[in-house]
Amino acid sequence: MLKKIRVDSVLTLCCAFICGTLLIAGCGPAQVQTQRLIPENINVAKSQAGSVQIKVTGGHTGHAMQMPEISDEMFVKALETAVAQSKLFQEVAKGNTGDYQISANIFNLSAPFWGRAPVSLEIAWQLFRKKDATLLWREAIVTSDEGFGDSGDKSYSKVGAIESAARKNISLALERMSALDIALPLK
Amino acid sequence: MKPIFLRVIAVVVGVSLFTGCAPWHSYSHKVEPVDLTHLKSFYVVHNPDDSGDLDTTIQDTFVSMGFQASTGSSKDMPQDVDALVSYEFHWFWDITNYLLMLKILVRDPDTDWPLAMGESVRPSLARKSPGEMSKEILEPLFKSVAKH
Repeated sequence: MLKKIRVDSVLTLCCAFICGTLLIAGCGPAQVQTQRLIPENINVAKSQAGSVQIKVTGGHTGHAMQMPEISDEMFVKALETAVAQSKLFQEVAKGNTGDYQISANIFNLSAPFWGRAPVSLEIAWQLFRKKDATLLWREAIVTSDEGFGDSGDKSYSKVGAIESAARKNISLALERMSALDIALPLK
Repeated sequence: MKPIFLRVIAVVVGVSLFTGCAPWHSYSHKVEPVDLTHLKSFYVVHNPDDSGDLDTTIQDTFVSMGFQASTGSSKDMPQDVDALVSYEFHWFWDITNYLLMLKILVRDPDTDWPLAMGESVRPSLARKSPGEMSKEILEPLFKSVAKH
């Protein structure tokens, strides 16, 4: 009887320790990767003359439930790279310079706390001509992703879904901006 | 599986989930360069999945800050409101039901353009009432422009 109780107690403690360690160690979530926010192919109708400054707001980190999020810094880097690679504008401006400004507000990222629900991402996009602060275009673009990737292996990834939704959003925004007629007036 | 086994695992799971991470967070932001000072009346669209009257709670928060607010279905929205308000939420259970997450989204009623949003996430040990969570989202956005 005594031997049985000791074995049970040891087993219980071992299992509790293993479970606790796994849970606590796994508390940090998989993170969104900046590089995976950059679309691979962007269909730019035409390149716009001039340089563009990128401004991003609405991003966050430090979710209380350790949900993956998109920060302003990572979205700026991804967007700058996407604009440069797509040649939507002649140049991506640094600092507060530039002929135009793309303003992206990460308005609403909806992802499930648990389970395998789709992720949706709404970004409020605006394009300004900086010289006279004219709003040239704005659109709130909502994209979503089921989270199962393109591989067909049926494994769900919330981070993958967020990254995919972001890529789609950036891609759509840049494509729509490329179709605009916003040529700078001759000086 | 032995009952004590299950109890220990349950305690470890509970402690890990509810105390191992950041206690809570709340943030609010507006979509620049929007001006929120001209917004005086709000219509809270009832979320069909909401059986906890969160729309009424949000409405009451606006009213307590001195604004006009009403709630109902999207098709019953009055013609002359300044802003449309929607919300997302997640209830959870830990001995009792509590509101784990509340997100409030404010839009232009004519164009659906995003104006402002806020979110409050409070795990069990940091739980607050829906009214308090609604207030901590909306006050940073609107308190400075509230009538009183």
